[in-house]
This record gives sequence, C-alpha cells and structure tokens, in this order.
Amino acid sequence: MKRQWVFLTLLLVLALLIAGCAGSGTTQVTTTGTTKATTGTTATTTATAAPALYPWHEPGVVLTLVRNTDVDITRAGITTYADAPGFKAWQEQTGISINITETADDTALKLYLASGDLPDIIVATRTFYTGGQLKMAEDGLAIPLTDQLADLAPDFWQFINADSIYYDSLKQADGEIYCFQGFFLKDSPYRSWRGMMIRQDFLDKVSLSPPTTIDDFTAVLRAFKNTLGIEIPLIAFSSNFPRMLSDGNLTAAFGLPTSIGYQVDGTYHFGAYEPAYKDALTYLNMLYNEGLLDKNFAVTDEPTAQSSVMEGKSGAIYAAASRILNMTSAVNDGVFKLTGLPPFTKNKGDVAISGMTDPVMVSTASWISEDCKNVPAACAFLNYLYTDEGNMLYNFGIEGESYTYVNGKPTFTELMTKNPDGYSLDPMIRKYGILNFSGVQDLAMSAQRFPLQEQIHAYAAWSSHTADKYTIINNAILAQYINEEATLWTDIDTYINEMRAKFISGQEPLSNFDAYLTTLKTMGMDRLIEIRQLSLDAARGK
Amino acid sequence: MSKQILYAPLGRPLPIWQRVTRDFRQYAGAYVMLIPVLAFYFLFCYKPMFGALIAFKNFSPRQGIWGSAWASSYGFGHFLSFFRSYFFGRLLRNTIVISFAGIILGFPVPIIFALMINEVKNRTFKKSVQTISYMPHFISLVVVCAMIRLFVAEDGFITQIMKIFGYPGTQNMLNIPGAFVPIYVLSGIWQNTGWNCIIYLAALAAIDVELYEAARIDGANRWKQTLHVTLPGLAGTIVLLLILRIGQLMSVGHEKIILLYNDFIMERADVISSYVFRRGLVNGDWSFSTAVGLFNSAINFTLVVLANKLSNKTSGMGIW
Repeated sequence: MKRQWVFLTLLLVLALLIAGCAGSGTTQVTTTGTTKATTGTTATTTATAAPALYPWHEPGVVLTLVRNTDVDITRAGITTYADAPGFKAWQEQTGISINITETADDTALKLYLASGDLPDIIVATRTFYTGGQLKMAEDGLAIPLTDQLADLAPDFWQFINADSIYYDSLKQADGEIYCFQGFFLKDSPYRSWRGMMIRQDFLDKVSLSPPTTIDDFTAVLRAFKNTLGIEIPLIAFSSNFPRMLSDGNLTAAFGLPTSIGYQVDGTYHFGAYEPAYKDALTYLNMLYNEGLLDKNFAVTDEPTAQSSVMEGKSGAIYAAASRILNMTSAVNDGVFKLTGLPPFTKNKGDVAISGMTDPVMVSTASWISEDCKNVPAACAFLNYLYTDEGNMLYNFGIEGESYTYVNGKPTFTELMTKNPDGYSLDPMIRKYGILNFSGVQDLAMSAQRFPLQEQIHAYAAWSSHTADKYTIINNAILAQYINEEATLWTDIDTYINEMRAKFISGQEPLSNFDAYLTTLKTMGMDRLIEIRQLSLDAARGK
Repeated sequence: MSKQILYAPLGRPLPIWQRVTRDFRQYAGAYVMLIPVLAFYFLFCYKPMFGALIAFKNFSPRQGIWGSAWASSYGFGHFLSFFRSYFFGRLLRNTIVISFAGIILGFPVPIIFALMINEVKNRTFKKSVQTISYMPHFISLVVVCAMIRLFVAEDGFITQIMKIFGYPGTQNMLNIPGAFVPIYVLSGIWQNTGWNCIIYLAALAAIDVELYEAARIDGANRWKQTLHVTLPGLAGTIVLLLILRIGQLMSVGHEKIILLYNDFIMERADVISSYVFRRGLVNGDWSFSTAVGLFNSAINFTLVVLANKLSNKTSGMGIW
C-alpha cells in the first residue's frame, strides 16, 4: 500500500516537472520554406556587376526572426506570417528559410528581447526601443551595417545612396547605419495619411466650399450647428485628439509647426512651450465654448466617433485615410461623402507651413542582432525586397495570383480587389505582398489601394504643406542623457497633456498660460530642450 | 507497519535529528509530495527575489544583472528620481486614497452581504442570489471598464438615474476628477462582493449551531444573536482578511486605472502603478519600475507587520 502511494506521488512530481518545462504558450510559430536551388521563378538580382545573390548559395540556411503579430493580415483570413503566401514566396525566392516568432505588441517584444536569447533578425517599428538605435546597438540588438552593405546588400545600398534624404534619415548619431528601412519615395503623397475630413454632403447643404483657412473652418462648423442643427460639428476621439496639434494640421494656422518637438535651421524648439501654442489652445477653447467641439474629447473612443459622423450627429473628424473607405462603405447610401481638408492656414491662398507627414521612412525597420551567426545570409534576405523582383513581391505579391500585367502595368487581380471571401484589398496586399516589412512603396501600388476617389484626393490635400523643413528626422537621445531625459519627459508629458485638456475645456483660464510656462520651466523644460538640442546636433553630424 | 515510537524506552524524547530521520522514513510519501511545493516557492518566489537587485543598477538586458552598472547615488538613483518626481506627492496621495476608500467602503460590504444571505431560509433563493452575485467577478476587466464608460456617459443609465435625484448630468462623469474615486470603488464593490463573500459564508457555516441554541435559550433575539454569536465567530476570518488587505495598500492595480483614466482626471486617477507603467514598461526603464515596485513592497510589508502586531495586542488574534 505504502509502496503504491510513494510510486504515485513520484509519478505526479515527474508529470508536473515535465509539464512545467515543456512549452511556454507564447505565440511560437515555426515554418520552413523550401530551399529550391533553381527554377524559373527564383529570379536572380539585376544589380550591376555583383554575382547572383539569389538563390542563396548555401543550402538549408534557417534564420530566426521576431516581429509583432500583424492585425492587418488577420483581416485577410490568416493569423500568422508563417501562413502568408507573400512571406513564403519571399523565402522561396531567396532560398533562405525563416523561423518566425510573433509577439503580441511592442511591450511583449521588448520583454522577449530582454530575455537574453536574441533572434537573428528583429523587425519592428523603427522607434520602438527607448534610447533609439544606438541603445539597441549597445544592447546587442543591432549590429552596425554601413561597411557591409555595399557587398552584402548591394540593392539596398544603391537605393539609399540615390538621394541624401534617404541616407541621412538612416544614419545614426555615430554615423553608422543599423537597420534595413522601409521607405516611401520622397515625393510620395502617401506620406500624409491622416488629416481633417468633413462631410461633403453637409457642405453642399449649406452651400459652402471646403475650407482652407482656419476662419473658414470655424464658419463651416458654425453653419453646421446653426443651420443644419448638427449636435457636435467637430467630433474627436481620445487617441487622436492630441494629434490635431502634434501633427501640425491645426497649429499651422497659428504659425506653429507642431505642438511637439521641431527644428528651425538646426535649433530645437518644443511646440507646447512656445507662445504661439496659446493661440492654438485659445482657438480650441473657443470651439469648445461654442459647442462646436466634442465635450468628451478625452473620453470618446474611435468607434463612437465614427458612428457619430456616419449617423449625421457630427460633420467633421480628424482621422486616417483608411477611415474614409471604412465609413463610406459602411453607410453606402450614395449621399455620404467625405472630403479631406488640407492643413489650415491663416490667409487664403497660403500653403500651410506644416501638416501631418510620415518621415520618408516607413515605420517598419529590420535589424540584425549580435547573435546572428550568418550575417551575409541575413543581409541577403533583407536586401531582396530592394531588388526589382523583390520590390514587385513587396508591393504587389505573386505574379499570376495577386497581380497581372495589364497594358504593361502591374494590376491587382480580382482575387485581391473583389475577394470571394469578402476580404478587403488592404489586408490582402499584406498577405500576398510583404508590405509590413522593409521595402520601398511603389506609387502605382499605392494608387490602386484606394478604390475611392475621395481617398486619393485626401492624400493630395493632406500633403500640401512644407513640414519637411521642420521635422526632426532622428529623434534618438544621446546615450549619456537617456535616463535624465526619461525622468524629465515623463512628468513634463503628463503635465502638458493635463493642462491641454484643462485649457481647452476652460477649467483653467487661458490667462494662466504664463503660469503654465513657468511651471514647465521649474519642471526642467529648459534642460530637456538642451539635451534634445545636443542630441539633434549629434544626429546632424555637428 | 506499526507506528514507530518517537520516544526512547526511558520516556525522554529522542534527539531531534533522530526524530526527523524516523519521521522521514515513516512518512516518506508526504515529504515527497512536499517537494513540488517547495520547488515552486523556491524557483518562482525566492529565487527571483535576487533580481530585485536591478532596482539599484542601470539594468541593460544585454549586460545582464551582474554586468550592469550601479545606479547613481550609491545605487539609490532610481528611488530618488521617483521621490523627486514632480507628481510624486499626488501619486502617493491618490494611491492611498483609492486604497483606503476601497477598504473602508469595500471591506464591510461582503460581510454584511454574507450575513444577509445567511438569514435567508429558502434554499433555492439563497443559492440563486449567491450565483448571480458572483457572476460579475468573471467579467473581464476590459469589458467592465467599457461598460462603465457607457453607463456614466451623458446618456448613460447611471447618469439618468442620478438626474432623477437632481444631479445636473451635463457631461460624462469620467471627465470629473471628483467622481473618479467613487466610480472606481463602487464598480469594484459591484464586481467583487459576490466573490468575496464566499469565504465569509464558509466561515458562517462553521459556527456551532449549539451556540445559537444557547443564545436563544438565554433570550437573545435575532439581532442579539448576530451580535454575540455570529460576529465573534467570524472575527478570526475578518481579522485575517483585513490584515492581508492592508498588506496590499500600496498596490492599486494599474489595469483598471489605465482603462478608465484620461487627461481630465489625472490629478485624481494617476496612481503609482500607472505612472510606473508609463515610465517603466512603455519606455523600457526596467530598473526604475523595479525600484518603485520594491518601494511599494517595503511599505506593504511594514504595514502588514504593524497591522498584525496591532491586531494581536487588541484582540489577541493575528496571522502570526
């Protein structure tokens, strides 16, 4: 009896230990592509005199890669990149297999990377790591690539040397390049994908044309409220409301490029610390008092804000271009129409000094970590998307399946545009193409992504500004100031956000604006600006 | 096998090591069952404690715990940075206020609820009330917060009800700093009362029925019985749970706060854990968040010890 008892408990202990050691329940996904050495579909690079990089000369190379799960592809019916045809094709065409791990979000990604065992390739938003790419290099997450790119990644190297804006955007404070970077072409209008949009059908009802100056905008909102009886002419949702100021679309009318950091000929300024900021707040306060701005701008969430516009309780909303398609197709009554408004100016006919714009760099970047044992293979893999074939794969996907040549122009097939399962075009592009990795966005591809004329028009409207003069390309703080900057910034950021809400809602009278500036001063704002100025100088190579 | 005696034939107890080895041999099975429990506590509770060291260093994952440099000010740099934060006073105040309100308002409610359920004679009614009351506990916090945001909106049903009693109700109550603590605490009470009263119901069931009979014979009515039999019977459980609750005073969880707060109510809603979330996790400042966590644990620990001492002195009951 006693022997059986002992045996059973030992078995239990063993079972628990095994259960504890095996499997961790994270989103571990593995895949191995094929390593075909030849065939007509695996094209070789068309680079100049370099020997053919693809298919990769070593068979059976498997690299590990980590990135965040992609919500976009779930809307195309798959849950992980391992199942995506585009991603599989990328591996087949290069002859290098990838073992992909997907984390839930940036925080989970940082935790994953902190665990010590690094994958070969890390793909994430360019700015996801505190302390920037220099800190990533220090922590072993990124190796310097500058010297190796010419040999190991000739197509990427060729691209970034084509225009100094690309090279300068990538270069870090120490002069090195650490990542493969996705880019927009410099003049792409698709860099400005967020802005103010207004219901064209309401404008028609009050016989007004789309406003370009800030005063016209106020007049339109007033007309909406008084003539049409619209409850909340300008609705805002909590995650986007601050962006009206930080993107610059609203502040441009008051001569302020943005409410956050910007530079004028190399001198760092912080928008919320400038006198002109008061004008922007005064304007919003006026809208609030007249009932033209949503009183719940800090609480409303995006779905509520969108339904408000769709139901006609609101006339204007500040949101991303994709929402134009979402809302128009949701209402689908032939009357509902949204028009994008350019960033506001003071006087008619001016071009706005600033407005929402992404840097030429697309947000996704790819780094090779210190733990990578096969750097040439990793470089070759990431370089592929910059070759002509890779660029087609990146933007359009797989020839014959997701795109065909119509009159010599690559056009998306019906599988993409009129998908039988009801998936919309955008997620499908990410499933067949490799848009959420690092490559160069093709203008022709972008143009086809937007079925509505209003979207194309909105992009054109939102990109009419001169923000490039003021944006700071490289935000990374110098390593020795990182802790101090983080301490100062967390408190200052909280204070600025609170006071913005209070000034706009009138809880704090605008006459106290000077007291607000003084408080910022005592919190160490000048020191913060000094640190950022020093970092800016270093990034510009001074 | 007959039970081995632990006393030497002369009647004195054996030396301790002999007692232990004999006990071990006889009840080997029980000790073996203890191994996974001990392993769990050692691996997951005690071994990670040494990682608290990073609170005194500038931790970098690459350099590891030993390789990272020590923080400024003899290792206390992060603590000082936290105490000197512009909002430190406010964070501390909000944390304590929310915790205290939670204890003062939230602690008695499950007890009273358990007493009331106990009085109910109809078994079906009793069981169904119990089941329904602990259902909210299982609703995800994210869903509860989404519900709260809807209910306290201008047209939300709670606002409507309050309007009947004369409340102006012109805006979403989550815009009003003063309303945050009531919203937070009351929704917590709603969600957790049913679940928390389970343990009191168990304790109530364990009170000897004869004591009630004796009280009835002595002429006590329902209320006097509750006062003199039920409550003393519950006292042990209440003291235990209260001391444990006080030990969580500084640990207002960040999830619910972050789901509910916004720029308007930061002055009442921002607590230590949400601040640390923004500063530590979002910004990847591991050392800083560990330092604040250590600070919280130190305070909680002190409070538990004091509460226990106080309880022992006043009522003779305590956890240890």
